[in-house]
Amino acid sequence: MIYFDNGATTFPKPASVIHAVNRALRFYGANPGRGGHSMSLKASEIVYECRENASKLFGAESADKIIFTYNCTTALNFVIKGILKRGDHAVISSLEHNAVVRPLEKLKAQGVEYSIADYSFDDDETINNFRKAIRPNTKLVICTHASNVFGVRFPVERIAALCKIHGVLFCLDAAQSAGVVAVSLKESGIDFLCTAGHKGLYGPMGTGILAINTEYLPDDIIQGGTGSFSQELNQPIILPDRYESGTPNLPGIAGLNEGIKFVLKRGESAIERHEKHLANLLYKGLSEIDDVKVYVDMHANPKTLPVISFNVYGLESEETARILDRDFGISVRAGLHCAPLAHRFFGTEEKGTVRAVLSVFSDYRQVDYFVSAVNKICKYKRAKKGCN
Amino acid sequence: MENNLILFNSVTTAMRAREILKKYGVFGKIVRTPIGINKKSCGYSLYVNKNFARALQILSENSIGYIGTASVGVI
Repeated sequence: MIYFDNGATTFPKPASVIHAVNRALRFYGANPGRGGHSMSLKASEIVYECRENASKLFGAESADKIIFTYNCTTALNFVIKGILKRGDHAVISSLEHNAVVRPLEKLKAQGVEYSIADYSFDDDETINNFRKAIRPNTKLVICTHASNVFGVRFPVERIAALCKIHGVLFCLDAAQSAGVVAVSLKESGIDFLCTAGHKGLYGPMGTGILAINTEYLPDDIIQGGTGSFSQELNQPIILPDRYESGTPNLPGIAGLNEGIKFVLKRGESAIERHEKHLANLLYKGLSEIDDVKVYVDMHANPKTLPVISFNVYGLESEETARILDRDFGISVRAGLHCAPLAHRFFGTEEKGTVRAVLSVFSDYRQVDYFVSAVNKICKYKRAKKGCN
Repeated sequence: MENNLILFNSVTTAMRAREILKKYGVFGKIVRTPIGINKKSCGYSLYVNKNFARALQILSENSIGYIGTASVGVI
């Protein structure tokens, strides 16, 4: 089996991640931050260690600025719904995921507006598009680090600088880039970083992170028990408690901790180099097949993440993915990838695309096999067409 | 007996305090807050056996809030 659906969730996970989840459930599966007994304390230590490692990975100011969420979508909702109020305006890119678009659509009914700044292969043009979209009442800019469908990257450090000039908060959706492209919150001035734990950080599903790098805190949209200030009827305002009501996902966080340690040990630049090298081979192999259209030229756009979107002429993307799975044992995702804006921008809204995303565990043989499988599908399709 | 226990509102703050103190060469241990000391605590405190005054000064310099101090026997 070949798994190239790492854009949805990475698989396999490092052995250390699996062992950590196992250990958490077997030996210290108590409620962290509550109870005061030794098993709860052990659980709290693991959660705290994960905060410290995440803080190190993202260049955050301190561990308490790392908020654990259940996925990137939850983190984005915390920022979008916690910041934007009636009369406010937001700017997003033309390649955003529904995790950004749908909360904003929901807020429209409450008097919040948003504008879309188009992506351009020319960074200066992209920045200019964001500049033009900012209004006097713009409070928040939300932008993906890299498209989850096409892999193209935004100049996020420059967008963060633009936001600082205009006094606007900047939220980075790093769902697809975390663990592959290094980000430093302290150096970049990004105010909020939202990411999933189960993608490039190699943690289990049900984990996500909101990293905060500003004194301007979003309103809390969920309230409840935090294990702190229990005598108070109001939600605590200290971090991370303000945004972490209810029992946390201890086994998930224990696994995420090991996933982040795995990334820190290998280094994001080494991971990126490995994945992009393979992605370039995959791009080259696919683009040499007559009946295949690859949507982003990886050679002309070297900053593109190892995310390749393509289609086989004459086949629906879903059909190509089904054949790859059924006849070749290859897992990829097809369709719109929860990002209709991105497909609209690239003109693929009607049929979607087949998306292949590599991970640190992908290798040459898998890439060769994948290209060969797509080649066979094209030959079969041509032969079938000839018979008709 | 002199104070040797720093009480916190949150276990995360207690752990962050411990790590900051460690960088200054002051060592503390997270312990369960003894019964009857302060019901407003999160249940965890930092036990600092040596350099207690210095520990409080470091926490203050690093803007780490705590809700009080107490004295307990050797832990």
